[in-house]
Amino acid sequence: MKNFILVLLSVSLFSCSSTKEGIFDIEDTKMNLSTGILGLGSNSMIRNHETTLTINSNSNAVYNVKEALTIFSKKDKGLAQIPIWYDNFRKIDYIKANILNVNGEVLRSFTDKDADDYSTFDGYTFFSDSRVKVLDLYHNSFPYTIEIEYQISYNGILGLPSWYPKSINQTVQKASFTVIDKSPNGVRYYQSNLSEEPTIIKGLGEIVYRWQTGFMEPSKREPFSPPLREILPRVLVAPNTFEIENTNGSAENWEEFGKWYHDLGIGTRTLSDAAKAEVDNLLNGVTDEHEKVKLLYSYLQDKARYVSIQLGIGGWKPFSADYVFKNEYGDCKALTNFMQAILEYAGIASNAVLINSDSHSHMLTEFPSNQFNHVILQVTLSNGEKVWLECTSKYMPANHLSGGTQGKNALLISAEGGQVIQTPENNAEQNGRVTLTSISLTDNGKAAIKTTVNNTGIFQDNLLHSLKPIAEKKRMEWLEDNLRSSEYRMSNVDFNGLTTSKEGAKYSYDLEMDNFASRSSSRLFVPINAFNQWQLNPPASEERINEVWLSYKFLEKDTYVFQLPFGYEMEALPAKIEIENDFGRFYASTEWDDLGKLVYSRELVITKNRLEPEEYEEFRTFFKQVSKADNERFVIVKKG
Amino acid sequence: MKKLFCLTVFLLFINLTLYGQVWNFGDIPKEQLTMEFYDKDSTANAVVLFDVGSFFVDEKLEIYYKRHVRIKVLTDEGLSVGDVAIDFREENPSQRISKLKAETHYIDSDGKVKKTKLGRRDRFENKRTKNWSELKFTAPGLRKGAVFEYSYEMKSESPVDVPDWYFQREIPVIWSEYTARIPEWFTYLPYTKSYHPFIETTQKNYNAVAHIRYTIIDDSNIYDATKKEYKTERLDYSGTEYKYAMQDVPAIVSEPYMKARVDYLAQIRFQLAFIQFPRQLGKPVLRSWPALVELLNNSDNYGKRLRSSSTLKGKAAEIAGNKETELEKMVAIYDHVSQIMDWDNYYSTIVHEKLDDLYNKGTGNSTEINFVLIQMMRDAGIEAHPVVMSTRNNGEIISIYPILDQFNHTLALVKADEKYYLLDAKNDKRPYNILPSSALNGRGLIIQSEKTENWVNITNSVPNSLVSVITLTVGAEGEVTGNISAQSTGYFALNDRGIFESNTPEENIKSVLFADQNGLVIDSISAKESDRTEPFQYNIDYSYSNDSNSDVIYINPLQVETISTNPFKKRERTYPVDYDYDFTKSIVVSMFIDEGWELEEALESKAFKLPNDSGMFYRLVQVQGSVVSFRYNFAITKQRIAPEDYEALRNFYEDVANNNAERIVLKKSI
Repeated sequence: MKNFILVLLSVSLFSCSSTKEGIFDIEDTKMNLSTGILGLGSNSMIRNHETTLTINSNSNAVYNVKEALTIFSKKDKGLAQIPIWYDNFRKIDYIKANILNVNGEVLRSFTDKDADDYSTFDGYTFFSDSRVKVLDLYHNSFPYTIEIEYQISYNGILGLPSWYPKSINQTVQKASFTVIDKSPNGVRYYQSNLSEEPTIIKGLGEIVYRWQTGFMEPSKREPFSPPLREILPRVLVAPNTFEIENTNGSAENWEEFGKWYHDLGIGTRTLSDAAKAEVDNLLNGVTDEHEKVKLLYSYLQDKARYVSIQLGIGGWKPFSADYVFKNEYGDCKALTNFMQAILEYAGIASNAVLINSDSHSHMLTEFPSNQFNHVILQVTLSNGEKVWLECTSKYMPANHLSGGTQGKNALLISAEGGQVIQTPENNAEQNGRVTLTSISLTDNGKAAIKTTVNNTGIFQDNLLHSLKPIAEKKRMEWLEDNLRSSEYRMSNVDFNGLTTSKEGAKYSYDLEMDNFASRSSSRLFVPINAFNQWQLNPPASEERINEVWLSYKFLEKDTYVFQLPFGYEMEALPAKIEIENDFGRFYASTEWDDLGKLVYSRELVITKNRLEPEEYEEFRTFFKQVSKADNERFVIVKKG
Repeated sequence: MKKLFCLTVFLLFINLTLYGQVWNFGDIPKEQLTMEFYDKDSTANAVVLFDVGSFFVDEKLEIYYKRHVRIKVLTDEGLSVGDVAIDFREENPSQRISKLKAETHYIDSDGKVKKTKLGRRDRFENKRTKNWSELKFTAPGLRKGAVFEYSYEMKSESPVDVPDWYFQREIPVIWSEYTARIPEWFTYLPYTKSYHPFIETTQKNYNAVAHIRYTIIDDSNIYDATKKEYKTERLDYSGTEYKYAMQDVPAIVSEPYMKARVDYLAQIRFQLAFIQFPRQLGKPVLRSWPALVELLNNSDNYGKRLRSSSTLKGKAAEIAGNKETELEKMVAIYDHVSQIMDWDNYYSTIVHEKLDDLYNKGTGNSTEINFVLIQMMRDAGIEAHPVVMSTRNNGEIISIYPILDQFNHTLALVKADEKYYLLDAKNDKRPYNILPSSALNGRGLIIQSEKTENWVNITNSVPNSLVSVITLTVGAEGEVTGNISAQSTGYFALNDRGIFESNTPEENIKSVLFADQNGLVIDSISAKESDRTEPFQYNIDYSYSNDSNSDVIYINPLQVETISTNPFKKRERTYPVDYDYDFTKSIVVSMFIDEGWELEEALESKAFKLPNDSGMFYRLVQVQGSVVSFRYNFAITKQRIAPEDYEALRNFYEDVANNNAERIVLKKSI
């Protein structure tokens, strides 16, 4: 027994001294004059960041990350919480970490046992195997340094991790990325916002790529910026051939990658007799192809709902058409695949199109690799006409594309393989919101209001998605949410126009509202634009660095016809405003007939959604003027 | 000497199908399938047709729980009811889910009923955290108009682990019932809460037979298993069946000024209080409050963490050593701990690590931070105790249940210079004399070394007030220059300091403090240096121009009053309105008008009040030559306003918003 205790003691002593050894050389972690100067003004600095990616085969890779970070102030304490993601294909081999003082001496040590483990999926996902380990490396005095090393093994490769030497607002002292390529067919890389080219050393059975950077200034994030991946330095790596869950694929070019995706779907589009019968029944007597597509699309929209379940290769291989038919749900791949199957059965050709639907996320066409998170369907009619279908939407009209899939490069999938294409994009007039409101005022500030709203394009899709799923009474509450006063009566609410019609989705309502205008003993102060006030005010910026990106182009047109109470005259009217520039136009004016009728017309058009940094100030002033004009009131006074 | 030990009781339940007669799984009446809307609530996206649960306790002191839910989907939004996650605990005590069934029925376009069952492989187990997992599935064949139902059983290894039952949800519920069958050996304390009436609360006795297996142990041979004797005995026993039911329970909706949802939901809970098996001594399970105090005091992850360490003692001496009075020492330690300890945003009553480790990390959960504070107070020779409590988001304390689960946070009760202070060091911007509003939720239990029950009311002594004195000058061209000299206290001071200390104070002052920002230019700002415990005093100079071509200008004299809309849109309210805190806002304005302008319309003086002196509004206007003065006051003086007074409150805000929209009119002199 005594011996046993001795052994234990020595083990613990040994492990104690071994972990006291830093992960990095002390020069990389201790504080000196130069770290003080380099880190001046930032809350933290990456001291050294060494990432090594070893690709051993088509299905196996090892990803090793070593990072030392000095935290200068409490503001960046959050960076001491380190998340490490893993799933069925990625296993964490180990984690070790230290907290070091200014002299680079280890204060406390950690391993993966100290990390908390959670499942983690985004808000759209119902189930996935994605998990995260979180290690807290907190310390109570500043500055201090954390160093961490972890290794992840890939068992099955579709994509490889990207390298970002820094995050936003971060200073970097030095960083390196080493790719050891032992794979049978090699890898390719793509880099952006990074001036350093890699050194490439060819050895026996391996090629080593190495990027190395010295000091890097922090990148800034600004409102309306392009996404981080467009701003930050990065290196992407992609395998030429890959293997995942017993499927083999190639990304040497887009044809091959597309072929791999196509082949995953082989055999998944067989329809059961019951399904065929439903399609036959639906298309009975219909000959027009357009009509067939429309009918089948709305059949899908009624039948199936979107549920995202991402498990293993299930993240890529679609659930079969039969599964969707039976269970009436599926993710984007499954629903698209089902749609393709019923079209196929109806003798209409269609192709899945892989796309990245994140806002502003653009496919790098010159770098064949897995860059997609969504799939849509392109139907080809026999006359060659194309019809786009978003199969995850229950409400969108046929041939509408969502904001995230418009004007993008995408990969069209066919038996021959993949082909890069561009999706169409709406212009400003096609994304329209047009309102017509008549307001009849009484002298106690009460208003009888009639409004019609008509939305097209992306506004139509958004409106249908907000209102179609909810009960009629809930739709009314949605309308009421934006009213200033709580004393109102709503009537004649008409949502019958919430359709997929080309002319747009419409709704209208009547509203009787007390306190619409505020009043004094002889005057009424009337909001000129009570129902569509611009809310977004870009903040001031000393020096804009990044481009200005907006999600889409659009047009707003609002007309108000006021009928004033008897015995009043106009005292003050908002001045006419007209601004036109490179990216848009704003126009607001009033017409007063001296007989009690006032017409207010407003038009806001954004024709360009990517502006140069120099245009930011103009962009800001533009919306400032819009929101000022939208807040104006006119004043009427009782005749003497 | 021989003793009888009850080992196992085999319960024989005869005719004990608890609800099988009424609610058959998969047996859907036609009217449920054809139903198109729910007449009692036309906003409903889905409605629970019934939600039936039951539990009983068995001989092994285990809980058997069953649930059967049927839901009608009325809109596409209602499809989300098909995504189900059933939480269960991995251990201490462990819960096991079994017999999960789910089915969907709808009438298809041919008028036939279509039924889809949940497939075996379409259910997923997800280990969310270390001790909590969930069983997830999504309803197959679900569409608008469908009826979806599922049922499952849950077994827990502990008799205290009775699932709470909520009769109310985000969608309306037509029928909800919970049945408990409890043998005479157990005493449970039920707790109910509701703003909606029960349609049934019954208790009836039942008789049943159990076979009890006794072990007879010879005391002299207690470790020798071969000497054990067994005896099985038939035992008639009685029990009580409790049934609670509600009908047509409205959906719970989010409205402004509500506390934790659990404080409003119609619910029932059962807490095991006492176990008494035949021929055995009774065993109390539910503690008294004094016993809970003792338990917490002796708990490894609570009271026992309060141990001095050289780190903390040294630090305490360093910080408080040179201070004279206890109060000065207390404040110095509070400031130090709130600076050094960052809150990890978790509320908890568990102190996971040693206090000096937590101190070295400089991060901890809500209780951990205040434990470091308490320990350092004690190290500096100041009396300090933990006060365990429940925050506003965690719900009110149920006083009949002396159980730890109700609490989620700990404050420090400190006695300095013969006065008591309640402290919470979670935030370094908040001074010691202001508790966070989240903590203002009734009372807290003092954990002291004696086994006694002492509660302390958790309140702030500093009022929340804002007084702004404004001087406005209207110039010849209609330009307005203003000066605000303001003093704020309590939460107002906290907010105002935050604005002044932000990176862009001018921008934030404009957007947060001013009612109308159009054309507003902040010319200068200054704040008086003061301790955070003191009122905050600041000065703002600003200006803006009016359209100089106009013969008439309109001025909002209140400038910094931002209440412009009525937050209470709903015509009725079932639940009380719960303000985070009470407050008073005053604005005093002196407006000097250039002789180029004439006062065309001033504003009327007005005053109105809420019932029970819960709030008041007044605006007094006085004109003397070219000077107009205003005294404005808006106050909410009671934190809780009863549903009966809701209409008055709604009208009050409507009037306030309207009055605040009024403008003074100036006309060019001729």
